[in-house]
Amino acid sequence: MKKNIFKIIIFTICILLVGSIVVASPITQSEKAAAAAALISKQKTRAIEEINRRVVSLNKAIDKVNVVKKITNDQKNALVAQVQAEKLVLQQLKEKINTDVDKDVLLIDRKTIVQKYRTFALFEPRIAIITYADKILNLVNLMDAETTDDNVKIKIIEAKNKAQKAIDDVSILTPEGYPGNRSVLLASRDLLTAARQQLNEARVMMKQTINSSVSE
Amino acid sequence: MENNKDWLYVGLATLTIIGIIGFSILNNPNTDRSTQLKGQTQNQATIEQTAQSADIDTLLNDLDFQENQVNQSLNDEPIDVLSDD
Repeated sequence: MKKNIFKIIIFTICILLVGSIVVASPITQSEKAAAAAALISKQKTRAIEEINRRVVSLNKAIDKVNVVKKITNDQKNALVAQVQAEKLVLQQLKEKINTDVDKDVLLIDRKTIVQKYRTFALFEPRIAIITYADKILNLVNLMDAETTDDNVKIKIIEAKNKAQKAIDDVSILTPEGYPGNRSVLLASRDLLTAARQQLNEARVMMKQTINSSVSE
Repeated sequence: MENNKDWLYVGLATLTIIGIIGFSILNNPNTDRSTQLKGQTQNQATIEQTAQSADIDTLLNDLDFQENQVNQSLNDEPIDVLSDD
């Protein structure tokens, strides 16, 4: 009798276990599918936000390039064309990401945003360096017209050469050359820092000349 | 007749003297008008020079902002687009 009761209990437990597995399995699968879909959606949204952020930055870059005065028209046109091309491929990537359904393909596309298109790593510093150099060259002209002192003029010319070199060096950089060409960006920044220092020194010398001529 | 000729010479001499004196007064650097004009020109030159000097100083100070922009762009930490994984 006891043996029969034991068999019934074991049988009941087995039925319950099998039933719970059968009932629970479809829910878990659908939950997993829903979670995966939500993750893909979130990843897409994030990726598109990042692309939009880059496009906004590139639009600002075009505005900045257009007001730069001390680069040649060829340099300016080449730079704007590069930025426009970068914008175009980012827009195309955005459309592709929107249609991605496979998580592995989406992962590759998301990596591409950062690894292939160097908007923030290369374009922003390049434009910032060119804008900075342009301001220095503008000052060079103003200061040179204000002095006849040869020593001051030497400092001004040295500053001019450094700013011009910075423009020439960063103008030819390409996204494909990154991160190797980061050293050029850093060297150009250092050139501009040195050029600015020379202009400050030249300014001090100019003021000393003015003061001494007034006291005479 | 002789008397009339004398008067003509006197008249011409007087006009010449008046002309010379008038010309001297108008071109004399010590006259008020000339001094005033000269002063105005000098003031204008000083104002322009001061403005240009201030302009150069302002532009030199503005380079600080440009340098910060460059440094910021070079030091920007990229946002990890894979952080949602």
